[in-house]
Formats: sequence, C-alpha cells, structure tokens
Amino acid sequence: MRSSKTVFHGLVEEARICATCGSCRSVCPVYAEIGWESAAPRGKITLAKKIFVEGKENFLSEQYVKRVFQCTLCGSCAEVCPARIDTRELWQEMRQAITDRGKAPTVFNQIAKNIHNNKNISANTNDGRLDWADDLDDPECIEPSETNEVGYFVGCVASFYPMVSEIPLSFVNIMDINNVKVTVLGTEEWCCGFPLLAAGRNDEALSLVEHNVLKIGQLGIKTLVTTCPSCYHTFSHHYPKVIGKPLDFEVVHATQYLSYLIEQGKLDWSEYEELDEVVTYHDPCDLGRNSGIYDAPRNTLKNIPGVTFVEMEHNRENALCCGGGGNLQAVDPELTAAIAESRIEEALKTGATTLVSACQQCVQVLTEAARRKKARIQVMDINQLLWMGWE
Amino acid sequence: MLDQIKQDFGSRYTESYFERQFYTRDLAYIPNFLVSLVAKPLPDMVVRPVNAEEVSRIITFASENNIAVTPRAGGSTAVGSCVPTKGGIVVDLNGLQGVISFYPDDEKVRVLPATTWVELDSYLRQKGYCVCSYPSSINVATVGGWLSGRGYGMGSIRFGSLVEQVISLEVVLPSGVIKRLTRETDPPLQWFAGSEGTLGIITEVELKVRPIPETMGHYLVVGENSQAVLQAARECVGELSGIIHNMHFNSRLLNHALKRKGLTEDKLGDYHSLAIDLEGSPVSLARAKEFLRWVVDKYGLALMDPEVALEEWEIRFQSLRIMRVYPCLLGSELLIPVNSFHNYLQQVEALGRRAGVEMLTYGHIVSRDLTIVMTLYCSDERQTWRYLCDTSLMMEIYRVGRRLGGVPYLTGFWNTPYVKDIYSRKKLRELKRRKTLLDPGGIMNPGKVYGPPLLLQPNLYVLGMKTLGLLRRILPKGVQNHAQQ
Ligand SMILES: Cc1cc2nc3c(=O)[nH]c(=O)nc-3n(C[C@H](O)[C@H](O)[C@H](O)COP(=O)(O)OP(=O)(O)OC[C@H]3O[C@@H](n4cnc5c(N)ncnc54)[C@H](O)[C@@H]3O)c2cc1C
Ligand code: SF4
Ligand code: SF4
Repeated sequence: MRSSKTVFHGLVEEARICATCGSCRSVCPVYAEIGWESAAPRGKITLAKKIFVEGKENFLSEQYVKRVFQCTLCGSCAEVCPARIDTRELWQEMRQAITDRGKAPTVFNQIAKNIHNNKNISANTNDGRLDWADDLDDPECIEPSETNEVGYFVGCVASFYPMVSEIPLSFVNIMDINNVKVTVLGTEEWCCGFPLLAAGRNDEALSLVEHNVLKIGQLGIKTLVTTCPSCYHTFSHHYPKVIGKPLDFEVVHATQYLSYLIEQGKLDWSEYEELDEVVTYHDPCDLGRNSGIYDAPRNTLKNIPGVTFVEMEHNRENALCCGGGGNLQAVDPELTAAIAESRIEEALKTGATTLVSACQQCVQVLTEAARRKKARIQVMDINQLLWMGWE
Repeated sequence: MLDQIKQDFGSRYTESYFERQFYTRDLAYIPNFLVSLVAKPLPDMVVRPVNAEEVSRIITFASENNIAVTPRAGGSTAVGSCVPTKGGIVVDLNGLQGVISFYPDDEKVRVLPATTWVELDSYLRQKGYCVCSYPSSINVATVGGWLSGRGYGMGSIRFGSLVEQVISLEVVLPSGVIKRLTRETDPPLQWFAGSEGTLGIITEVELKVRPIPETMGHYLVVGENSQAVLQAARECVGELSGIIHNMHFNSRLLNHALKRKGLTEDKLGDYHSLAIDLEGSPVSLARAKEFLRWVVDKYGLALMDPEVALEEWEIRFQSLRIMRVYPCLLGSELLIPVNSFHNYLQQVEALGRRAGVEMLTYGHIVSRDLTIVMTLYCSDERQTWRYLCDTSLMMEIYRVGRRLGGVPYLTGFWNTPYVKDIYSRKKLRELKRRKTLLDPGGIMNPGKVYGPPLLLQPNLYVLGMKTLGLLRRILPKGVQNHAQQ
C-alpha cells in the first residue's frame, strides 16, 4: 500500500478536487525532463477539468493526449498529493476516457493486437512461453506436480525477451537449489493485463484476468510469486476489483518470498560463494510506491554474504522512477531514456559497483542507460545477484 | 534580439498557445470572462532560463522593448502573484534548481531560487542539518517564491520570517544587471523580501540552516471552547517560543467537516484543536510537557492521545484534504493578531450562519503576535453566477478581519484593492519609491502589489462585491453548504 492514504472516486470528482497546488509537479520525472507546465501532473489535470468536468471536448487536442500518455504511472504524484488524490488511478481512468473517444496513441493498437492474438505482449505465439526455461539445469523442475502450493507467474517480458531471461532463470535456480518447489503455468499463463490497463483498455483485460484466475485455481496454487512488480500490482490491486471478490490465492513478489525464506532459514548458504559488491537498490515504482514493499528487497540484499548496501539519495517512497513504466517506452522511448539516465547518475553518486532492482523493465531500461552513458556500474535484478553466489 | 533569444533558448522558449495556456492561472479559479475584464493573463511567450546570465538576457530584452515580465516558480499562491496581467514574458524559473554549496561549519547554504523547500530540507537532512523554517506547501514552494512573499510558516515562531535567515542574494535587476545583495548593499536584500517579483528576479539565495534538533514532541490540545484553546495557545507561545516548531489551530467546524469524510480522527471531530510541535533537548521537552499539562488544566482542556498527535503531525502538509469534503472552496487568508483570533473566529462563523455557509477556519501561529488565518467555504464553480456571487463573502471575511487588525496575507493581483489597508501610507510611499528607483519602466510583474487596476479600485470593487452579495441572496441556492450537518 502507498504510504499516503490516497483515495479515488472517479475522474470527474477527483479532477474537481485537485486544487492545482502543484505539489505533484516537483516530483514528476516526466516534468523534470520536459520542463513545461503542460507535462506536469497539475497541468494535465488543469485541462482534464475543462474536458471531463466542463465537457469542453475541444481541449482534447493531440498535444494534450500526447502529454497524458507521457507518464510512467510511477505514482510519485499520488505520494505527495495534499488532497490525497490517487493520481495513478486518475491517469488510468483518463487514458480509458481518451481511448473511449478513439484518440489514444495508435502504438497501443499493436500491443493490444499482440495480446489479443498471442495472449502476450510480444509478436510470438504463446507456445514460446517457456523457451527461457530451456537454459535451466533441470527444465522439468517447474512442471506441475501433485502439489503445486507455490506458483511462479513469469510475466510476458521475462518470458519472451532474451535480454532479461536471466531473471526467471535465476529465480527458479535459487528455488531449485534450495529445494523449494515452484510451478509455472506454461502456455496457460496469459498476459496479466497490465499493458491493457495502462493503455486505457480496461474492458479488453477482462478475459485475461478471468483466464489466469481460473488456471491458477485449477493448479491448486496457494501462493503466487511474481518477479515482475507490475504483474504483482495488477494481481494484488486490480484482479480483486475485476472479479469482484478477494483472490483465493495469496500474491507475493519474489523479494517478499526470498525475504520470507531467509527469515525461515530455508536458504542454504553453506555452498554460497561470498560476493564482493557494493550494491545500491532502485525501488521499482509498482513494487515500492504503488505497493508499499520497501523492506523485503532490502532485507534480502543485506543478508547476501559479501554485499555492502548503500542507499541512493532518493529512495523508498521518494525513489526516482526509471522511466520504463506505464507503457512510456512504447510511446516516447527518448523520454524513457532521459529519465533512466538521470537515475543512473544518482546511482553513480553512491559509489556502488552494482545497481540492483527487482523488476525486468527497470533492469532493461537502466542497463541501456548505463551503457549509453558508459557508466562503470552493472545493472541487474535482485535474483541475478543472489544467484551469483550459488552459480 | 528576439530571434537571438529564440535561437539561444531553443526548446526552452515557446510561443505555442498549448504551452502558454498553463501559465494563465494559479490556485485561484476565476472565470475567464471576469479575468479578461481586468487583466491579460495569457503570456505572449514563456522562457525557461537555467542561469542568471540567461535571466539577465531576457530581462534586458524585455526592458529595451518595454515588455512585461512575470517571474514564476512553484505557482502555488492563490492571489495571482505569478500570473501575467499584461501578457508579455513569463520567466519560468524552475530550471534554476539545486543546492550550489553547503557550509556545515558556518551553518549556511547557497541555493538556486527554484529549489523546493522539500528538496533543500531532504538534502540537508542527509548531512545532519535542516532548514530553520518552511511553508506548509513544502513540496511545491520554492526558496525564491517564499522569500518573495511574507515567508511565514512552520518554524517561524523560533526563527522569524524567512528574510531573517537570509544572508545574501543574487538578483537580476530590471536593468538586466546581476547584483549580489547583503543587508548593507544599496539596495539591501530586505527590499526583495515580500516584493512578489516586482523588483527583479532572485537567482541565488544564501541562507542560514541548523543541525537537526535532538528530539521532537507532538501534542494535540483540544477543547470545546475556542477562547480557552486560543488563550492556551498564547500562553504556550509566551513560555515556549524557544522550542516551538509549529502551532496550528483547527476550528471545530473544520474538524467536524473532516470527520464527516473520515479525514480526521473521529475523536477530534467535536473539538477545536491546537497542534503543538516542539523541538529541542530531551530535558527542555520534558519541562515543556509539564508546562503544557499545567496550561491544559488551567483552561479546562484535554490532551489527545500521543498517537493522534503524531498522526496530525504526519499529515501536516495535507490541509488540502478538505477538498475531499467540498471540491470547490473559496476563502480568504489573513494575517491577524493572535489576541484577535478568537473574536475573528466567532464573527466569521456568525457571518457564515447568516450567509448559510459553513466557515471552516484554520490558523498557523507564526510569532508571539501574529497568526496566518485561512477561512474557507464551499461554492460550486460549475454554476458560474452562483460562484461569482459567492466570492462576495471573501470581502465580508476580510472586513471581519480588518475590524480586528487583520490584513490579507499576500497582495498579488487580487488583493490590490486592499493595498491601502495592507500598508500604511508611509510604507506604501516607500515601496513605490523603491519600485520607481529599480524599475522605472515598470516591466517587472506589473499590476501586482502597489495598487489596483481601474476596475478594482476600492470603491468600484466594494460596489461590485456588494452587488454580488445582494444577488447571492436572491439567486437559487445551487449546491448548499452543510452548516448544520
Ligand atoms: C497547501 C498550501 C499551503 C501553503 N502554506 C503556506 C505557508 O505556510 N506560508 C506561506 O507563506 N505561503 C503558503 N502557501 C502559499 C505559497 O505556496 C507560498 O507563498 C510559496 O512560497 C510560493 O512559492 P512559489 O515557488 O510557488 O512561488 P510562485 O507562486 O511561483 O510565485 C510567488 C511570487 O513570487 C514571485 N517569484 C517567485 N520566484 C521568484 C524569484 N526567484 N525571484 C523573484 N520573484 C519570484 C512570483 O513572481 C510571485 O509574485 C501555501 C499554499 C498552499 C497551496
Ligand atoms: S498535488 Fe494533488 S491537488 Fe495538488 S495539483 Fe497535484 S493532483 Fe492536484
Ligand atoms: S505517475 Fe509519475 S510520471 Fe505520471 S504524472 Fe505522476 S509523477 Fe508524473
């Protein structure tokens, strides 16, 4: 949960409630890069008042639509809003309202088409869901068995993009070496629906939600682990709303699960080769600010033998965004790149050798930013770092 | 020369209508047709300089071409201070952000003017220091913006208004000259405090900071009788001013309204409340606690549970959550003597009862003598005439305050009809002298501070407001207030 007690009662009411005080402006990563008031959350709501409250549709210009979708859904604005508006929800509803008017960026059509046809965001069919698992020492360790207490929801990006396939590999290897059985859904894993929700296509996400809930139930999964914070957030926050009741299974992020295993003494460190890394941690927005999970990744990192942990200036609920959320990369890749580079600069100031996150999207955009800046820092997911000592 | 500016600023210069429209307002919502009768709020261009030299180039250009310049930073005032009245150039200062250098041994820092208070304080806290005082709009208000106003807020009881902490300034004068000011220079830095961007642009601030206090203690005094609560407040300011960080009063009506929406502790809803946040050594805090207990007994008040007091402290920046009760609020912000606060509250609430609205009041006690008081009431911006008629109550609130020695907190544009109340004749003459001396062409933030435009001349203004007040009584009620809920 967010640390501030935000509320959301629909676009029209919340747009009226906004006092245009501008507190959100100062923390917005998009505004920080673009610099015009039109790019600040306050600016976007100022026009939303006209369009959605006063019904002045002529203000719904192409430039405005562009600004609305230039947003990572990082939730920083909600964190500081003194009127307690859950602005993240507001942006999603605004996107939906724009989509309903047929004015959303066309780039989302391709994503939606992929999901519709393939049940995942890539251009590949869902048969390839488990291609990444070919590189496991024992690819069968994730197959369904008699007891499937713990399920692993891999997520589309980790499943289909080789650049980040080390994340599910590391997670499963860690589980396997510590004799913790996890089961995957394989081709029955469909996109969690987040890209559609973020694109303002809530209705289209419905069948995905229903399918995933059904399949998870059929396997008898009691605890569903995700390595993707957006899958985690979508399952824990949106699924119960969509199906109209609490889920029958618990949803945890991999960092929570690892922290739990460490606390329970279930990780076997006897063969672990001590690392020698100064590590700083980048809070993924959907895990930190938007879900309130700050301690689990830190507990995990601090327990890894040979890791010296340092914080960046902006951390936990004040963490800067990586720029990769909210489908921004699809809409405006240059903006994503600029935001990511600012985060790399902050990480470099800590003197860390490794920048760790707990999200495949953060890892991907931060890796590219570090490469562009020729920064002497390696970027990886927390599972990759942990696995290094057992590898 | 404009071509040169366009070329130099590149993507930091705009004439696009889409971009400019966002600079036509601040917090206050005033219907366009009304604004256009008295001002031209749409700038012709907006520029975003990143250093003093760039600011100087813009001002020189404006000065040579007699173009109005409106400085804007957080844009978080509600009296039109940072909104153009004559089009021209808006200088968006948010590119001048960050700490330049910090001198822990001298307990001072040099910052760029658009650094927000929260950024500055977080920066210092990582080094064991903090700012002396800050506005409750900490997340948006900038160092330069707050200095350009009255500079009162949290920490003011101990450290005075912001200008008292300022050691030096770098400013760009209306001539384009970049100058460093201290208390001894000509002009002295004090001229810029409260000048609301009318004398030039502040491009750097050097100010005192302090080590993080050893401990803090949070108390919440409640009572049914506002007089008793406010007398207790005065007694505490007298005795504890050296360790008070913040003292904030909420009227019972306000607490009750918040309670209705679950926005405050249920227990608080039936009382007037006084949050007292102390800072200092454990010994001084322990003594203060004894004193507080004594005061609370003396006035027949009660101390809320520590958890409730702590919660109030943690949400101290969320005064705008009242918008969840009434999404459209009008109001007046005044600086009034502490010892008039109780009478003010009684009279303003009586005004509310007569007018059929719930008057919600809170106050920050900022010195032994002064309180910033905000009184808000509900309206509905979707019903333009209703809304306009409701604005007449702002003048009524102000008149209550004036009778009790109060003045509007900021002048900006919308309070210029009151300028002769805000400043004595002598002080106003002196302010005008400074303005003429530094800005003979009158390019800097015209229309603000020194006097109203024709249609806002006091006589016309009062007549207009009274007419709206009369209309208010005969118009259908629209969205009603809930004074009795
Ligand atoms: C919830 C809330 C709480 C508030 N609490 C307080 C409070 O406790 N105390 C208080 O005093 N105010 C308070 N305010 C009002 C406002 O936030 C402050 O006055 C704030 O300091 C204004 O700063 P800004 O950066 O937003 O300035 P702006 O609104 O951008 O500008 C204010 C004025 O300063 C001028 N200006 C800005 N920067 C410069 C510069 N560098 N050089 C020259 N002129 C400049 C502008 O032209 C304008 O006249 C509050 C507002 C809100 C919404
Ligand atoms: S912080 Fe909240 S109330 Fe203030 S402008 Fe942003 S959304 Fe509106
Ligand atoms: S969610 Fe993040 S990127 Fe989007 S408006 Fe809010 S602060 Fe900006």
